[in-house]
Amino acid sequence: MAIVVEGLTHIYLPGTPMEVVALQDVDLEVKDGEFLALIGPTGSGKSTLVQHFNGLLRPTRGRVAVDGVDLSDRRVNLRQVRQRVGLVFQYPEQQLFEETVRADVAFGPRNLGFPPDEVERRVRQALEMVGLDLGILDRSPFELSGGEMRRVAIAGVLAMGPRVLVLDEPTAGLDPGGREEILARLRSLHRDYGLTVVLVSHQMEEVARLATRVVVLHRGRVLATGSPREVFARAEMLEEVGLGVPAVTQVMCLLRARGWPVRTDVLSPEEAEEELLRVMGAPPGGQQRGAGVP
Amino acid sequence: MFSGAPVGQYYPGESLLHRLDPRTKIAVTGALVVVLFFLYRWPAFLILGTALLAAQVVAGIPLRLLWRSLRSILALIVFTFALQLFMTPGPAWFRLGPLTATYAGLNMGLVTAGRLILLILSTSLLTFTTSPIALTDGLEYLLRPLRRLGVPAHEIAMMMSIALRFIPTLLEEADRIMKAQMARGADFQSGNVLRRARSMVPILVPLFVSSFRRADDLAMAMEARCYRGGEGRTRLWVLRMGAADYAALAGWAFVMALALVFR
Repeated sequence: MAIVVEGLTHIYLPGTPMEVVALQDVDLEVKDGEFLALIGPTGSGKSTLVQHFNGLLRPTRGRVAVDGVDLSDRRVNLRQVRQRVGLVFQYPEQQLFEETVRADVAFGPRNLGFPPDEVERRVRQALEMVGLDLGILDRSPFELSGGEMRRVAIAGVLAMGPRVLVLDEPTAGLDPGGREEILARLRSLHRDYGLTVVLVSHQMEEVARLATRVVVLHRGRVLATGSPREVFARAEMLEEVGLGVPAVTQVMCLLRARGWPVRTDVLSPEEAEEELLRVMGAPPGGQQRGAGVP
Repeated sequence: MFSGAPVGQYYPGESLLHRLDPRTKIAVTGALVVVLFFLYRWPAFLILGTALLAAQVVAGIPLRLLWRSLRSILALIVFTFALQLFMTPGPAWFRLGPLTATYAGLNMGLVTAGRLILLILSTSLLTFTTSPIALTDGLEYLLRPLRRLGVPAHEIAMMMSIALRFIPTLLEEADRIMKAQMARGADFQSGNVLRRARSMVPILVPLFVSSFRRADDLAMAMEARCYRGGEGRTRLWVLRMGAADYAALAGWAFVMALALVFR
């Protein structure tokens, strides 16, 4: 399953004074099985781009193909496309509407016309996938905590059985606990369930930890693409567009600017610790952390 | 689907008409609407029509936008024309089945159609060139004398501007929720009326929930900034009539007088 975007341009309200070019000549591929992070400052076109992945928006120019099927073809069954490419919007808990968690998660599979027992099976599996206890099945979604509501909403998309899961800033506005829970679930969806994941984010730490590939959008164009290590090595470029790099990477950059011979392509606290110990010449498995500071 | 749908039909611009005081434009439009009902003969219609079209050109409004607002009431114009044509008594012009068209009817029909068209032209000119916020501001000033009669002018204007302020927000939100449900396989286009009405539930429930939350937040934010209604409240933008406003008032008074002479 791959999504191929070629020469995609999207213009809102063309031909009026309110015209906005949201995307311009974007070429992009979402490869089967990858964990792609889409980063970019506010207004860079991330949300517009992902709404083309399942045909919610139509290109002004260019084309989007899912599994080789061109979405601008009028004969395409968009419902089928939307089943395969699941899209979780920003603040998805705001779209909950049913009286019970069960009914809300079942909305997608019911629309797809599955028989009741299959719907029920999918609802249970989807809740398991996001790590929610089946005891909440009959509770009202509006009684749950913010993080739980969001996971219910994500389950609502997972219940359709997508091969690609696209999430637009899934951790925005959550407390650290809720954020960690969501991130852990995303990692497991990618690793254990083999889903292709596209994560829209401007939390650089999240991206550094999870993504296998990063695409940087800026003013509707693709500014850079590569592995997290390659992209975050270009700290200056990222800062210029208002994004920055993960805090640990920044610390390493600052140390280097002060003349310490440390690597700066460091993405996690663990890597940073190792690198610092190496530079400080501490013996591996040495006595005490922090010992041996010159 | 609704994204960026304009509120009312404000057409942003910098023309002379855009910069006029909203009170001037509201007053002129109000007067025009009244004058229209005294007109019976074509020279009068011609004078007002030409003046209104010239004003649209000065304001830089594309004619296709005018046509769009006229088209929306085209059915009404045709219907009232037909009604007048066949229902007015007088010497017969032609017969259509059981119906008799009269010359007097033709005349009345044309007059009514002309009035409706000019009505749309004049009110469109107001809404094309005045932002909704300026419109409510102007309205508040004009309603102010009625406060003595117990009309809550400030509150009415405040409610109007809040409503106007949140229309785009609501549309945006409805659009987002609709798309989110479409991503879950919802279908809003097919099925009979009942099915379609039912299919709106997944949009309306979230929309209501968030509207109530938003209203709460807004009330809190207003109270946090010591909002206490209109009494003794000063404004950031004070409306001022300038030379252009008096010139516009005088000019339109002349045009309307001319039209009344030829009525």
